[in-house]
Amino acid sequence: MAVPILMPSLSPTMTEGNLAKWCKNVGDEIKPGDIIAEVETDKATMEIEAIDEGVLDKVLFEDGAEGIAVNSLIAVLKGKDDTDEKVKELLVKYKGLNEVNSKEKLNENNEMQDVKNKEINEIKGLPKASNEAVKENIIADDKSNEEINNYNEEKENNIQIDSINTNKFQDRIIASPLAKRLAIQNKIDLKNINGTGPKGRIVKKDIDLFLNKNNEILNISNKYNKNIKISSMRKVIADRLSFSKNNIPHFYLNIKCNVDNLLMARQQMNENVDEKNKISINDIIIKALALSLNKVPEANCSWGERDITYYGSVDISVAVAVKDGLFTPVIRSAEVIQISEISKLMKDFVYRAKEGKLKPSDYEGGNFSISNLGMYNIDSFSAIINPPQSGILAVGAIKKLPVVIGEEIKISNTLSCQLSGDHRVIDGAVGAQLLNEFKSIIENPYKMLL
Amino acid sequence: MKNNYDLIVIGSGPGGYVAAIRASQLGLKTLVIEKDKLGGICLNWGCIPTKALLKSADVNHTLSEIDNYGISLKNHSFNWKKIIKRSRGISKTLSEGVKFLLKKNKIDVIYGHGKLAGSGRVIVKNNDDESVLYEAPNIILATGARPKNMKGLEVDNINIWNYKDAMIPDKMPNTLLVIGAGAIGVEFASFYNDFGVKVTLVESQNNILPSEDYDVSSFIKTDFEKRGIEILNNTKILKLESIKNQVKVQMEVSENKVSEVKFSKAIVAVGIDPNIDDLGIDTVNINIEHNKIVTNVYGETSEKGIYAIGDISGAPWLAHKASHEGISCVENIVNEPSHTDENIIIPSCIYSRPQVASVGITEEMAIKNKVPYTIGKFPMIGNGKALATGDNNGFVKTIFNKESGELLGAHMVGPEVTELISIYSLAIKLEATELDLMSTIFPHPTISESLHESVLAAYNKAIHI
Repeated sequence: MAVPILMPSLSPTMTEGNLAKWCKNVGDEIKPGDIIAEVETDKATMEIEAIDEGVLDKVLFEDGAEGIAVNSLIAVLKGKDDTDEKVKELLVKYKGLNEVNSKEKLNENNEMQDVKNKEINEIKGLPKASNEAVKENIIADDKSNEEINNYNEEKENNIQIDSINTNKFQDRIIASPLAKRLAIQNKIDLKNINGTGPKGRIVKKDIDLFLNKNNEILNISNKYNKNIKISSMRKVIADRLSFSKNNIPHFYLNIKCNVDNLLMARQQMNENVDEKNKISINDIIIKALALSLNKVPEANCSWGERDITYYGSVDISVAVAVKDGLFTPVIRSAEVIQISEISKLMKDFVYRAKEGKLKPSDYEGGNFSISNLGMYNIDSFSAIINPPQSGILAVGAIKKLPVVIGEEIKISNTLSCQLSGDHRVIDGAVGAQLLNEFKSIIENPYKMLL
Repeated sequence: MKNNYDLIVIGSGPGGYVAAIRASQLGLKTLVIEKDKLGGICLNWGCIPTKALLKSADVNHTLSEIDNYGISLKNHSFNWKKIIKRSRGISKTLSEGVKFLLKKNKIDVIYGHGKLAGSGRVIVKNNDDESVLYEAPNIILATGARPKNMKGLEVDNINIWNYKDAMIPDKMPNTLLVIGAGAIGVEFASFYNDFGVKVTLVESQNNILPSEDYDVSSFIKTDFEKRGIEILNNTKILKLESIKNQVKVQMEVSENKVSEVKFSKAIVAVGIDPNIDDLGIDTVNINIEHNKIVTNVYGETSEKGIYAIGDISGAPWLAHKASHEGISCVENIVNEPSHTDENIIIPSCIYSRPQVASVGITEEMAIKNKVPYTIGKFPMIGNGKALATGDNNGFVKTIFNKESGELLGAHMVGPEVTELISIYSLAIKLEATELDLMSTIFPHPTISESLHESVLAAYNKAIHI
């Protein structure tokens, strides 16, 4: 049996994936466990492992192909006894499916963009040359053929030149091969450029002019517009947080905690511990929040359309900023495990998040979130709930502030926290109870031992 | 009004007559004023008659090597007078051709000396010494240039020649001094050498063909010397003196070292001077700098309605540059969309044996301008067609911008390279990158394959070296 290899669904939010690269070539023998390809999901890059044995007979997408719908056929593995007919049958079977899967895609992206993506990919691989060379030229040729057609039509039907030009070729950009390459090298969208060559063809001079102008503008104000394709991670962040803000009735509670004791306790915890194993304030906050949720289980829940789920354990999602986005890896059963264990897990998560190597199992689930902007010197802020969770704790920076204790003003280290709660499942009083519990633990760290 | 036109063109060289024809095509009532022969220097005393002469030299050379082709020929000889006559005949035919073209396009032609008489006015002194006034809102000056007259190197048209004299001598000199190793000097040196004249070619700069790529200059130097042409670089001619049937020459061979030599004849080819002196420039407000009329890309001068094209508006002094400017100028006058820009691409061709052709910048210019570049070189020895035709003397050199793949320059020596250069000109004009050139199929067997190989060589992909 010829074996279909499909675009896997690697996380519940994944609807489409990008084919980062093929790790095997067509014709390679594949054994179970071999890595066939790398797939880029909305969150990370994953490897596709072979389950069956065979020869990689066909690949349906090229390296760098984007927006391949989940469950689309991406390759065919040919078994020992398979005939070419079998492979063909399989291709026919999946052909319809792939079309359905990709139909929405087509509507989104117009052809121009595809061409451009392709060109960018080609130029990136320039040193490899010949293959790429051929590809680039195919594109150039297609275009020049189109130009010829355009010209012929003009000749045949002089009167309608204008309508033909405006309707049919509205999106087409005519540019010299050199101008195209310079645009790619300088990351310029040809759409933004006025062509001054014959029939508005974009030539090198136009690119130079554009670059000079941009440089001038940059020198004056450092401001200019550019369009960058939305990454799949950005798209997920946008979708989920828009959903959250639009659908979840957020309410906000603020509290200030004195962290003098906590800082001292941390210092003691870290004595004689080498630099890379030191426990951070954030690690302690994770533990404190987990213990508080354990004490106030009414807050450890999720709104569902029919019922409310109360969680058995406390799984804390911790926001980790990466270039161009963020991940929320989950510390599971944080109420049970030791701070040192939390610390170790977090260090590993942060490292892997930055490398783009988190697995879906690392960031899926979670009952409650923490977002800490203390290191960015933010006093306090209002965070958006990560659905379907019931709340998120926004943690600010520790600052020395005057505090009234009894009749005296004292300077103490103060931490501002703000809870965002889903009012559908938590009421103000429950939120307050949770925050006070948290404050109590933070201010009296010994309670974490109880 | 009989003497009123939309456009008056003074000079009917390759700038003027081409501009006039284009103007007529665009509906302008046009007058051409010519003081000598239609077609200007190019047709009558330049490009064309010299090519006729060089063809005779080429045939003579081929006959001298005819044994190599398995053909024997006893006592081939040449008739000098007939060679000259053929050259003149071709010029005459072409000049008649221009006459016909102007007539066909309903362009009036007046023979006489044209001169500006204020804005929009031209006075023509005709051959009967009558002065007639013509008026037009647009006047194109296309009067070309003449050989430069340098002190000490005055031409007497007997023993000391300019290029015109060198084209029509009654008989061959025994020894010939060619002063100036630009295109004209190199062509004459090649021509006379091929007919057995002992030629000395003198250049004041470091290399012959000083504006060409160094590889080209040194290739031609080696080749010429092999043929028996004496080449003296860095040599200044201080004085020429015509004595009886000889020229006495004082030359500065090195600093403060002057030697005196005698030659049968000398050709002075040290450059040209624009014909702007007797043109009535002072009656209008036209800027002149370094002895040339200042214009923009459309040939517009500082005086509205007066334009200048070709040699009088500056180097390079080439017929095809003048024609191109003529067309841009006229299309601009009638607002016809024209795609001229600052960097017009002007190829250069030299019809010596072997031929030289180039376009774009030299390697020396790339270094000077600190352009990141890569070079491809392909020798004609590696080209099958060149071998088959018995002429594989030459090479093709290409210069690319290393980062963008832009073709910056191409320099060629060899058989028919003057015909082949347009492939590269077109590539530069259309802004082809190295990938476009590499993936173009060049037919086999042709000499043009060496153009392909040179591009491949620039990226270490040449097959036949």
